[in-house]
Amino acid sequence: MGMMNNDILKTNIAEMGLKNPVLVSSGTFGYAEEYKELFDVNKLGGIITKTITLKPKKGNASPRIMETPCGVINSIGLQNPGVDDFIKNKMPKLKEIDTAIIVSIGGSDTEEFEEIVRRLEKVRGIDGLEINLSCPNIISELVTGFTEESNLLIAQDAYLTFEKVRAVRKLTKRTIIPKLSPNVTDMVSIARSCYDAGADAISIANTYSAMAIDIKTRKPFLGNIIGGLSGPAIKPLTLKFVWEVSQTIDLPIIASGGIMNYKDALEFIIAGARAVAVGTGNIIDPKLSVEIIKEIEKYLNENNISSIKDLEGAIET
Amino acid sequence: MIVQKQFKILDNKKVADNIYKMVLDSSSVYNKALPGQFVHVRGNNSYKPLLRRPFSIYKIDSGNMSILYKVVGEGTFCLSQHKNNEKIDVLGPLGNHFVMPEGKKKIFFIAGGMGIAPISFLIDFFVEKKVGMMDNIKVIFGVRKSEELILKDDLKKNKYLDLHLLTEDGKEGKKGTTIECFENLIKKEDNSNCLVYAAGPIAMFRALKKICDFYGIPAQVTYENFMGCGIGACLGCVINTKNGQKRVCKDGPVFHIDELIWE
Ligand SMILES: Cc1cc2nc3c(=O)[nH]c(=O)nc-3n(C[C@H](O)[C@H](O)[C@H](O)COP(=O)(O)OP(=O)(O)OC[C@H]3O[C@@H](n4cnc5c(N)ncnc54)[C@H](O)[C@@H]3O)c2cc1C
Ligand SMILES: Cc1cc2nc3c(=O)[nH]c(=O)nc-3n(C[C@H](O)[C@H](O)[C@H](O)COP(=O)(O)O)c2cc1C
Ligand code: FES
Repeated sequence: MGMMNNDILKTNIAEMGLKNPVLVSSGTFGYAEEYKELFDVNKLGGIITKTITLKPKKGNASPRIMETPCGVINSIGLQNPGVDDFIKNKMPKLKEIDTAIIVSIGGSDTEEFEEIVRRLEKVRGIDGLEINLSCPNIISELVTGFTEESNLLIAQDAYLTFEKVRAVRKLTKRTIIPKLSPNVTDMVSIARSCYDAGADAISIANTYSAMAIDIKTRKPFLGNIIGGLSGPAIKPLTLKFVWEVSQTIDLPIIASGGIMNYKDALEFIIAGARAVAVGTGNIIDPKLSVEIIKEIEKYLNENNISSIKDLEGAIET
Repeated sequence: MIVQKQFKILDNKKVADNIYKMVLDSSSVYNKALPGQFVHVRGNNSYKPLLRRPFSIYKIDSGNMSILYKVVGEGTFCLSQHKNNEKIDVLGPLGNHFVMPEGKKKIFFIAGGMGIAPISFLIDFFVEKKVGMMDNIKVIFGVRKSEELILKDDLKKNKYLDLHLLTEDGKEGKKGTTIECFENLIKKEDNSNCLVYAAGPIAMFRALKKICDFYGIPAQVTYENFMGCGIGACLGCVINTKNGQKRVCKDGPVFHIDELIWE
């Protein structure tokens, strides 16, 4: 047995300390309320909330979720109660939790992002902001992620990304983490925009734009026609993005894509991630994140690694 | 309290063409579950199928919990392959439940197809707790093919029930649908004090709604939708209702028929 060390799992993202590198990703954990009943959420490295927009959003038509081989396509459509209701009704309970609270924010234009950040600035108990520039499942209206000029996601355009991240940077000293889309030709250039705009870290990545058709009715399965693919099917794809970006851009990375066990989590860290976020895994196995934390600690001890930080980017090429 | 646990399978057997009953040693943790609630079952620990599948609780009996399921796809096929004594991952009990009547009512239980699972649990509950007017419970149970009339012997033995069996092929019971039967019964009643509890396919609810509207009878139904987490967190199962957006897994699966929107 290796030595027991309480700090072995500790890490940080800019000013934000994390008791361990395992977070739960946006949209798969709500505002933590439901999961509290099932396990001790204080053990998590951090909680990234469901994406919040300025105004309440109803989200997309049902069905919103379906299964594909080793994957899930969802088209929730950012249903959320809006920033004011979030502050009033969700934050008081969230800030009681003894872990990093990262609020995911979304908007369709710069002004919307700015207004959300302004309203959140006055609220205590928030450790960081994840800037969702990459929700893929909205086509019918111009909402989060989609620009007014075209059907591009913000995170598909280096300049738009720069503009939004810089706008947020100017308004807050909190740790800010833009979340990127995997539906890009060159993620490194988008990540560079984040760096230039003053981001503290980047989240890699959101879901992959996807769809499915019922051949009996010839109708799309999802009410929204298209959605985002997540789960084990996407892990190798997102892993490659994490490795690629970490090679060139000097920012900590939070990786999310198909993490189903501690081995998946370690792969991302070895590829270059500082921390990981479990998404679809929570939906399948609500206690998965705490299981992964335990297993990572065991792995570190068994391999005489004194800090999780030593594993970051430790890939041998 | 919601519990997630691996439970031992005591029995998993075919009870009709494509329909199975699975009895789990749930060591009494689900003894407080109420009719209408469901469990979210993980078929196996691989990625095929990946998501859990929801099933109504069909029976709670001396610490064991059972479900009745029809094989319709990958997930239910996977369940049917499990052997006795294997373990299976269950999350539950989930969702809201049927609301029990206040005072004496004329009760109609209407089950279409697999809807008999939650309705059967509800009947057990009524009988055990002596809810309502025990001598005036009508059960209307309809299926497509007569082979699918599972539980009919148990239902026939239950002395409290006025049982009406319906099949579309007419080989057993009466030929016809649950709703035709219900309409014929309700015509003869003074319907001021009636109450309907129903579970089944959406087409049945649509027809039921028309009759309930016409006669002014309140009805509670269990609604099904595709699910992700089953605990209210992912918003995958949300539907629009007349009272706003509702999560079928948490705010449902039981709804008043008037609340639902039928398009
Ligand atoms: C609250 C609730 C309680 C349920 N109780 C029971 C029960 O007691 N017994 C039982 O046999 N089934 C029940 N169901 C339905 C059951 O969950 C589905 O049949 C099952 O998930 C199908 O999984 P599959 O992988 O075998 O099929 P899939 O391959 O996923 O689908 C096969 C077919 O079933 C349909 N289907 C799949 N999931 C659902 C769903 N959730 N609702 C409606 N249609 C669906 C699909 O449209 C498709 O045509 C319940 C569903 C809900 C939401
Ligand atoms: C049901 C569901 C809802 C999601 N909602 C959001 C969201 O609101 N904001 C966001 O940035 N990402 C959202 N995501 C993406 C996840 O946070 C995660 O980045 C992605 O699913 C990849 O990780 P996974 O494969 O582990 O799920 C959602 C994913 C799922 C499955
Ligand atoms: S299935 Fe996740 S909220 Fe209902």
